[in-house]
Amino acid sequence: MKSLVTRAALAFAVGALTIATAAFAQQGSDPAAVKASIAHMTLAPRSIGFGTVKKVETRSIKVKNNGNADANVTVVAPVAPFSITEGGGSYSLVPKQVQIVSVQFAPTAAGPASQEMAIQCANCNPASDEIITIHLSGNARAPAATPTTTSAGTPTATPTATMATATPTATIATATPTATPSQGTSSNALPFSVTAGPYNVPNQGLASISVCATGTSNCTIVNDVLIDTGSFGLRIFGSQINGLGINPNTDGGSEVGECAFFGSGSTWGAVSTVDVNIAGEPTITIPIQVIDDTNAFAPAPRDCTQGTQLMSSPSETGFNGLLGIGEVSNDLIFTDYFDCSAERCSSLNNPPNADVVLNPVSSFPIDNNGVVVSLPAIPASGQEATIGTLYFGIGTESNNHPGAVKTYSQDSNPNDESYLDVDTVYKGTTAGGFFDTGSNGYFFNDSSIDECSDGSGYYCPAATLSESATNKSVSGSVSGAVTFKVANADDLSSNDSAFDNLGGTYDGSSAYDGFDWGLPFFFGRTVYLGMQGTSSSLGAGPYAAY
Amino acid sequence: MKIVSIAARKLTLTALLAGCLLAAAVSPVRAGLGGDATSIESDAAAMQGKLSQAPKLEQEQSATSNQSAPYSVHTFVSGNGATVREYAAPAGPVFAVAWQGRRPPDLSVLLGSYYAEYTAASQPKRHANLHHAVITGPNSIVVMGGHMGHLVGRAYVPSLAPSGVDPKAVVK
Repeated sequence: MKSLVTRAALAFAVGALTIATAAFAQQGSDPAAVKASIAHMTLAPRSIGFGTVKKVETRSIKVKNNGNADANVTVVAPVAPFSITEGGGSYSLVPKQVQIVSVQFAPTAAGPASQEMAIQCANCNPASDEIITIHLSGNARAPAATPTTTSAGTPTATPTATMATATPTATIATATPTATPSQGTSSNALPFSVTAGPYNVPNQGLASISVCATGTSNCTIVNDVLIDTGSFGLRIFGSQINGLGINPNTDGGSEVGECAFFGSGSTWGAVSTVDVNIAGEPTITIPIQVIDDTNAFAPAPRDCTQGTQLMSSPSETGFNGLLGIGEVSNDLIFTDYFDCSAERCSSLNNPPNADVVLNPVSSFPIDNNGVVVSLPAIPASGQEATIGTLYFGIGTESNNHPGAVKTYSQDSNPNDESYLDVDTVYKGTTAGGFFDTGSNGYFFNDSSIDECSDGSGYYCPAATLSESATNKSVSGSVSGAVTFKVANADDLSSNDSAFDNLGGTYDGSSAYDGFDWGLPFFFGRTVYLGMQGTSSSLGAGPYAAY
Repeated sequence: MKIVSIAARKLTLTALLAGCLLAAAVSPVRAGLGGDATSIESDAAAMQGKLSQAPKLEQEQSATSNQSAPYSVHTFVSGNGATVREYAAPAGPVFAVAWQGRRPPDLSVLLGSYYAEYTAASQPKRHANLHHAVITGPNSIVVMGGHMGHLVGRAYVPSLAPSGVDPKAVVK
């Protein structure tokens, strides 16, 4: 039944973004056949910490093919002050072969440096092997190497991404905020990919972050974390951080559990305080939700299961975790907390501050007043993959200063039904609108547009429609029209994963009653989302500006 | 202010549990979607809500005839704060339900005998979507969405709607 789909594996290393198409053999439906010949890449360690150095230092990792077919490995070279001295480039590893990859840290200036180095395996299975990132970090009291023209202090060329096989000549432009950024090399810039991802879901912005057991070097890179401006807090499936020694937080002897509610279902699991590294931001130590997909925690209480259904696994949801970076600093008023024993849970109505899941952005020391989401424009026919950048902070660094944008203030009253919404007028009716990278389409009700016959709720007009809606600030008079296209969802290419014209019904009613500006809205735009309780040159949050 | 609302929630959650037990003992066999209009009060009780007003009689002008088709709309707020509306034919079953709030209402009550369809049907993987779901069963359609903090949902059974009433058009 299960067909293996050709998927785009995507790697990002600072200064060079490469997309390689995973060349899966067609192995049919026989699980035994799948087992028969696979390449399986393992790496150890997953991070290299050089510590504080006084001279040029070199450390190594081992890359091993633990499968029983040759593995086609590519080590994407990091940029200065890191470089590969051994085991770089592309090569094939026979089963059981081990390759040493050595990384040199040659700082040309004092201060900390960190980077994600990508090691790809074009034909590995499971999919999580296809791109593994190695976190490189080091610190220098003084320059340990002679500066070169590509020294750490000089922004490198704008990253480019090239398709390895499908469209060899295509170069994917990366969008930039109006102010010229030193893209990719900045500590507050998190590249994310819109690809089919390991779970083959369209229009998902996925990034990699690092999670460690607090105060230890027990760390792992979690890939395919969904960038979600429609929620607040970091949530990771437990299966992705197994074995690091991350335990539930305790509250007077009980373990703290949480249920969070989303449009499509709920997440259940323990609250655990962990160390998180996102882009090059300083390590933050924050409570996150560990979504329990391994039955490691107490069973979900009825309050969590009576409503919408639980999200049960990465393969069901299409992501390994959720990076909830919307306009609120924590999730306290939106979710339910519990005191749990191994077997059962009771409501925890006033959880200690230390156990409340925090929006990671609010926890950054400087870049904490909002986010900037930037995605390049894509063809109307869709694109196999593209790369966006999430910048932390608004006007806090050289790369996140707003250009000429309109700022739409959002409802700031938590008691309002329209909390965090702007006003969106569609065909003469006003309803709440919100900007949500975690939704994969434009969702709004319009009974004049045909829905697809598969019951999916996506729109399938006979011909692509050009529509228009007007966003308005909830306070003040700022107003601006948005034109957008709605294509026939059934006609969109299954080879592509990025679409700027996917639309669907919002809630199944005929009447227009809300507008979810999902990921399609962000293509070709740089969107600034201001955190409530903070301000920037664009005003006081919560707001959306573009 | 936060503390007050949390305390209130604690109270309602406790009461909700009690209400569930109580309702289980007295509610008619069929309730929620597909249940009799008379079952709506027990739905409200089961969800620790109270019918906030007398049912409102609404009419939809039939597209195919000049006759107007009446139905009633019953509204209550559930114990966890969701606003729930049930749509019933005058002497017939509940053919549509709608909700909105920070938390979803108890769908095992609200979807009634169609809850099993909802839990059994899975949407195509290609359509997996964090903030939006359409679950189409053999008889029922459930659509939900929204961002964290504001969730909406509608469910209806087309075959139960009074003649001349389009459940999709009336459920709001």
